[in-house]
Amino acid sequence: MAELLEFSDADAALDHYIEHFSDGLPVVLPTERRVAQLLAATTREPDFDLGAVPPGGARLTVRDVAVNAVLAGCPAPAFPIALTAVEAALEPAFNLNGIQSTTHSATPLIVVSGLAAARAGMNASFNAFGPHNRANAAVGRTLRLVMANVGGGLPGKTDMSVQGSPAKYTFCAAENLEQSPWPSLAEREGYAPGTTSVTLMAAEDGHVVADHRSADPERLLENVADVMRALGTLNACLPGPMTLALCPQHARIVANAGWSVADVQRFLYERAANSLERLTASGEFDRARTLGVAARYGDPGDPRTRVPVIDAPESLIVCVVGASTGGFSTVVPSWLASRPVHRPV
Amino acid sequence: MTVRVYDPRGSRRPAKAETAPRPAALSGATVGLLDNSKEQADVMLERIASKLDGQGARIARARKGSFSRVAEPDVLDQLRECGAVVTALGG
Amino acid sequence: MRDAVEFERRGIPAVVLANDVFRPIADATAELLGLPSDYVERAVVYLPHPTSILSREAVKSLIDERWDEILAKLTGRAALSADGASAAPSLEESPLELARRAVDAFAEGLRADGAELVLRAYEEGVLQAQLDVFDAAACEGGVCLLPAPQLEAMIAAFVRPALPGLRAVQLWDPRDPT
Repeated sequence: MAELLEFSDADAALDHYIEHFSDGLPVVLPTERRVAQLLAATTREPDFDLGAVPPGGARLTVRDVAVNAVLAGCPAPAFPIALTAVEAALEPAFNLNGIQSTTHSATPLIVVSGLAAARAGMNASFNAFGPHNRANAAVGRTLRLVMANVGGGLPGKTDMSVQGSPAKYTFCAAENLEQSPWPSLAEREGYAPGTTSVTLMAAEDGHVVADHRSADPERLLENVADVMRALGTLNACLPGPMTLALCPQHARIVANAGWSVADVQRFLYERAANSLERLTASGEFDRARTLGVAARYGDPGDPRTRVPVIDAPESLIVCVVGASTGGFSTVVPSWLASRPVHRPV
Repeated sequence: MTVRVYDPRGSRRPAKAETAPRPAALSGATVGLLDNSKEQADVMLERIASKLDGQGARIARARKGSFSRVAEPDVLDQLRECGAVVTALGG
Repeated sequence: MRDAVEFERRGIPAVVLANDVFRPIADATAELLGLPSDYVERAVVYLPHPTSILSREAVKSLIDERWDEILAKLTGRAALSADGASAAPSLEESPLELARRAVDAFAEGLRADGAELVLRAYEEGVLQAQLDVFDAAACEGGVCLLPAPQLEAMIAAFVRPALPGLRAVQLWDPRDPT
């Protein structure tokens, strides 16, 4: 049950909250009025128990999410999306416990696909992964503050991330449905048309793919594959999921040639791969583990055996994000003891 | 003037989940098979069904609509009379 | 495993067939769901990933190979190892004894390098071991010279087959001043 703390005045309260419950950026005081406003934006019961947040294990209710959402500056229309993202993060397959304590910079990447995103004021266009949109900022930040305040995930204490990343403030965008030549991510995940989905992947920072020359899918996606197969990601030696946020310009080049998302996934599964010989020299090569993995894709004794960076074509989450006026897409490698999850709003 | 603000740290740990005792033998028992629609879970469960038949157990079957969600209440209900359950395929 | 929790709560014991990509997070998942720390050991049967590409006959074989284990876990008897190479815990041996044996086996490799590894505790899946360097000269260039986190990872990888419930390794390293 969320408790109420008392302070002599608002300044004293704010000083305390910035000191103890913030990610380093200013926060909004979760007064009863503000929390009630967010709770009014959902039909969920405020006292409903959503589970324990690792690693600390404190229980989380819908109201607790609202409290952290107010802290994060979440506008009421975006609260249902923020709440869905938190619930998705608590799904066992996502392994929030591992993400909280890894030495990697892993953090949840949140992609919202569906009409509810625009209705909530989210940004799918210019600067979608960047600042200056309250909803995008708050959906990601609400989850991060829940992880810190309820889960107890703090640097050096339980968060062992060596360098961290700015994506740990927030890493969230909406899919650009208007500019996408394909069915939305939500539809491809199997949801009925009209449903908005929230997809989470344990992510490191995005790697930009600049391409203003390619006019056909093969050339463009070969450049994408080149970024995907970079040594230095965890995927290289341990194939797993990745997210590809294609900008509308790139998506059009691919779709105009008649390619579906499945075609993109299959192409990149084949091309974004490293030979065992290359992996042997990499910094994450582990004899027993890497050769064990290579055995799934070919002869582990042959240095030419190719190990893909995504474990299966369908493990590449493809979404269309950003404005249509440039050729920059983003590859997001993942942290690998976690599986992506998605949930309907 | 005092200001009251919600504590963002959630609340205390719950009691541990209960686990059920396992039946000593399966002959005469009903074993439930829950298929979550994933990757050949149905083939696995059918094989288990044929092996269980050899043990003298009865079989009850149920299938989840989507592998990513928890089983719907009516699915859980279908298997309520079972002495034990096998679920496939997790992870 | 969420479904398993729902059944257990209703008094129906569950056995979970799981894809082995689940293995690294299985214990953390059980803990998140409030299940006892040995639940994974008692209730989960692993199959190699992926199974989608296998023929029906191959999938049936995977089940046949694991039938003894499935049956044992359904009826609460000790798990029988599928391949025999990684010895499964017997009813007689406590996790602590298994941990001691596993640490001792790892320590064999260290002794030639002038170092000793001794088990301090094994509780709630966390293995604490103490590293003692008794011959610094012999240690030169040896594995005991690795920084603690790397050594912990090596120990974890080595002992895990014998300790399926292992969640973490903590090394007491006399070289570390903190």
